[in-house]
Amino acid sequence: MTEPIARPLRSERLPLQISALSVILGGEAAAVPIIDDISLTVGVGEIVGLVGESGSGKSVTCLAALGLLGPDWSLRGDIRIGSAHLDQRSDPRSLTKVRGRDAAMIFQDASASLNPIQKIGKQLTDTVARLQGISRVKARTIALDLLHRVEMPEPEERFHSYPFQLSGGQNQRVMIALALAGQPLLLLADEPTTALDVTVQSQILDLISKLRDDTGMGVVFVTHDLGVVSEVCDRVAVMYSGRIVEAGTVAQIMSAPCHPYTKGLIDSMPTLGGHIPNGIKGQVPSPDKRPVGCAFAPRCFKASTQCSQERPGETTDNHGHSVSCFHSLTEAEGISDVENGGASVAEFPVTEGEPLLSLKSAACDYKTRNGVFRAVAKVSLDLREGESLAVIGESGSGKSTIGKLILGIEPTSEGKAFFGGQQVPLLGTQAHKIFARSVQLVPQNPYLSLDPRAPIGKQIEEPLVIHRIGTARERQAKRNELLEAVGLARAHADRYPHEISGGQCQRAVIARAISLGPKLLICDEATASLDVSVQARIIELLRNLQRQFKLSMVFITHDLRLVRSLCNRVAVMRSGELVELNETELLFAAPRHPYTRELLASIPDVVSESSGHRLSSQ
Amino acid sequence: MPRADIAEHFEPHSKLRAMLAAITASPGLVKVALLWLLLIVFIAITARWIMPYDYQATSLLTRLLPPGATGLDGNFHLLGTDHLGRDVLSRLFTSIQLTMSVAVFGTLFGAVVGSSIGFVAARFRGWVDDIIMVLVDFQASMPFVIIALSVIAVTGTGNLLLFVLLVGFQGWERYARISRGLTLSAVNHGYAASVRLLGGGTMRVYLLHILPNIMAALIVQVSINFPETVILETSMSFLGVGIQPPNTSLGNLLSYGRDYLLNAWWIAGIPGMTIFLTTLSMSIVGDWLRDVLDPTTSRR
Repeated sequence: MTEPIARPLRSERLPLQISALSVILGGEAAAVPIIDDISLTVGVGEIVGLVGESGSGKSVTCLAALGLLGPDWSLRGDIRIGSAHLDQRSDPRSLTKVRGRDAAMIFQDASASLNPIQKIGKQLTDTVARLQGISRVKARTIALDLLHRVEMPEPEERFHSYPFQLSGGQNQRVMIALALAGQPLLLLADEPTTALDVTVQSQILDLISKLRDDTGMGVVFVTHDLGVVSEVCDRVAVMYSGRIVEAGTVAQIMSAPCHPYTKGLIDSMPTLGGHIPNGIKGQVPSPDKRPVGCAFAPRCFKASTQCSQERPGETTDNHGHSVSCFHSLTEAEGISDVENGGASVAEFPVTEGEPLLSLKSAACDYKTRNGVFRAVAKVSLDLREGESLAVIGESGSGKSTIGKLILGIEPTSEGKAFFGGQQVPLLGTQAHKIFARSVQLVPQNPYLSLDPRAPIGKQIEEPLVIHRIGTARERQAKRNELLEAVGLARAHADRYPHEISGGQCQRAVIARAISLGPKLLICDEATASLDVSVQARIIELLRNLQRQFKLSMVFITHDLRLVRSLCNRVAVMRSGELVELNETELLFAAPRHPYTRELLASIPDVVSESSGHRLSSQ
Repeated sequence: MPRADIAEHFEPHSKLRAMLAAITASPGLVKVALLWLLLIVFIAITARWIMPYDYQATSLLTRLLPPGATGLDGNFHLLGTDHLGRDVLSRLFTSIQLTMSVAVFGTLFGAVVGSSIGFVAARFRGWVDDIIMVLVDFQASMPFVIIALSVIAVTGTGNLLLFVLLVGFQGWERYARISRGLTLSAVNHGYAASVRLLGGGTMRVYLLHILPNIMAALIVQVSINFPETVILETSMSFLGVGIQPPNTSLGNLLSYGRDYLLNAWWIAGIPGMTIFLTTLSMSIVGDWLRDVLDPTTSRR
C-alpha cells in the first residue's frame, strides 16, 4: 500500500455548514426561491445523504455550496466550507480557490465530466499540480498514488489511458481521484453511482466510505435511492420542493420516519423482500407553484386545512431528529409497508400446454470492426401464457438483445425464436405487422419513444390507424378507454410529450403498447429513468394491467428488487449467457449460481437481508 | 420543473401565440427586416393592381426622368422613367412579382427534391446512399452558376418553367445532407423505432413522424437558401440568360440600367437597392429563425 497523504484531521472546522440558505432564480420581479431556507451541517468524517425526488433541489444545493450557479441566481443566508465563507457578496475568484481545495464534487456521469481527449494521468497530474502548487514531476507521483488510493486496477497502465478506454466504474474512480487531488474537507457526490451496475456501485460505495475513514472528509451524498442511503450514510436530510422536511440519523429516518413524505419515499422502494412498492401520487410542484402552506400538502395522506394554510415549523427531538410537519407520524404509523412484505407473486393462473414464447438455443451476433461479437449465446427459455419472466443482468449482459430477438428487431444468428408456435418474423416484413399486434415493447425512456411533435392522444390511437381498426369515432372511444386504463385524464390526449411528466409519458407509452390487445409485453428497463415514487406507481399499473388483460410479460431490468413482486420466474444473464433460470421465490431463497449470489449481495436494500428487519435505531 | 408550467399555460393556439410572442420579443433589426419582407410580399401579390402605369408602355418624350418628376404628358413618375420612358415604379413592382415567384417556387422545388433525396439515402443506405452522397459532394464542389449556364446553353433561353426549376435546383445538396443526417439520427431515435414496432410502414415513419421533427432545420435551410435563389435569378437575368423581355425581373432592370449608371442612377440603383435590402432582410430573419426554431441554439 501507499503512504496516506491525508492532511491531519482539522476537527475544529466543520466541512460544511449551511445556515438559512435560500437560492433565488431570476431578477427582482420574477424571483423564485428554488431553495427555500435550508440549514444543513456536515461534520468531520460524516456522510450526509440528501434525498428526494427530482425537482426537489438536491443538486442546486450542491452547486450553490460550490458557488457554481450562473449569474441569474442569487443567494441569501450563508455557507461555510471549512474556514471559507461564501455568501452573495463573495468574489467569484475566491470561490475558485475553494473549489477543488476545500470542496470537490463528483457527478453522475463520470465519463462526461472527464476531458475525452486527454489521458487520465495528465488530467490528474495537472489538477494536482495546480491545486497543491507543486511541480509537475512531483505531482505525477502523487497522481499515480491517487489512482492507487481509489483502487484502480492496474493503475500504472491506466495512467496512460483515455477516458473512453475505461469502464463507467473506472471513470468514476478517476473522478474521485480528481476530487481528492486538492485534499478537500468536503466531497459533494451527486448521484455518483446511479449510472453504474449494482456490483460496481457497491464497490464505489465501499471506496467512498473507506476514503472518508482515511481522510476524515465530510461527504454530501445526493441520491434518490434510499437503499444506497442506508448503506453508506450516517445522517440523512430529506428534501422536498426546495426545503428540508426531515433530517436525522439513518436509523431514525429509515425506521421511524416522522414526515409522511419520507414514509412515502420508503414505501416506494422495491425491496429484496418482495414488498410491493407503493408510490406517492402526483409530482413535485415547480418552485413558482409551491403551495402556501406545507409544500407536500396536496400529495399528503394526512393533510388538513392547517397544512394548506400555514407552513409547518421545524421541531427537533432530543436525539437530533428534526421534522417539519403538523402531523408527525407516530412510531406505529411510521412503520413502513416494507415490513408487510410477503411476496404476492404467481397469483396469475399460468396455463399448461404449448409455451407462448420459446427461445430455442437462440444466439445473436453483432458485427463489429474487430469481427463478430456474440451478444447472446445460445439461450433457451419458455414463457407460458399469463406468466411473467424477469431477465436480469448488468450492462453488456445481453438482456436487451434478448428483448430484440423476441421482438424480431434482431435476427437470430443461430437457433430460433418462436411465438405462438411460429417463428418470430423479422421487423419490416409483412408478417411482422401481424405479429406486432401480439407482442409490444415498453422501452426505457418514455420521452424518447414518443414523437415530440404529436399530441399524446393521437399517438395512442396510431396503432389502431396503422392496423385499420375501427372508425374514427370508435378509435376515439378506445383511446379514452386506454387513457383511463393507464390512469391518465382525457385532457392529456391533447398534450404534447414535453408538457407532461415522465411518469405520465410512460403511462401514455403503455397505453399505446396495449392498444392492439397484445398477449406479450416486453418491458425493457421500463422504469429505470423514473423517480422511485413514480416507478412504484408504474409497477403497480403494470401489475393491474397484467391481471386485467391477462398479459404475459418479459421484464428486462438491472434491478433485482423490482422483480420479486412482479415476476413468476427470473432469468439471470451474464456476458450473453443465461447463468440461472428459476422460480422467483426459489431464486431469491437459494441462488445457485455464484454470480446470482453476488448480484443479490450487491444490492443496497432498505431491509437488511439477514434478519428481514430494518436497521434498528440506536 | 418547467414542464408543469408549460402544461398549465397550455392552450390550443399556443403555437401561433408563441410565434407572435417570439416576434414581439425579437430585436429591432429583425422587426425592420420582417416589415420590409412583408412589404415585398404585399407588392409581389398585388403588383398588377397597384402599379400606376403599364410597365411596358414606352414614351420617348419622357425618357430618363428623375424620381419625383412629372412628364410632358402630365404623368407623375415617383421613381422616374428609364431610357424608353417606361415608369420605373411600375417596372419595379412587376419585377418584384416575377423575381419573388421564381424564388418561392424554385426554393420550394429545391427543398422538396433535396429533402426527398436525403430521405431516400437514409432509407436505403448501402450503395444508394453512397451514390447520392457522391453526387452531393460533386454538386458542393462546383459553382452552380456554371451548371446553370451550361444547361441554358443546351436548352436555350425563354422557357420560364425550366428556368424556375433550374434556379430552384440550386442548394438541393444541402437539403439532402441535412435531411439525410437528421433522418439517420431520428431513425435510431426511439419514436421512429416505436412506430415501426407498432407495424407502421416506411411512409408513415418518414412523412408523419420524422418529417415534422426535422422540419425546423429544413425551414432554416429554406431561409438561407431563399436569398441565394434570388441572387442566382438576378445574376442569370443580368447576364441575359434568365428572364427574357417582355417579362422583366430585378436582374433585367439592373442589366439595362447599367449603361445609364452615370446619368440616370435610378434605373439600376433602385432595383439594386431592392435586391440588397430584400436578401439582407431574409438573411437577418433566417438567422433569427434559426435561433428560435433550433433547440440546440435556443436559450432555455
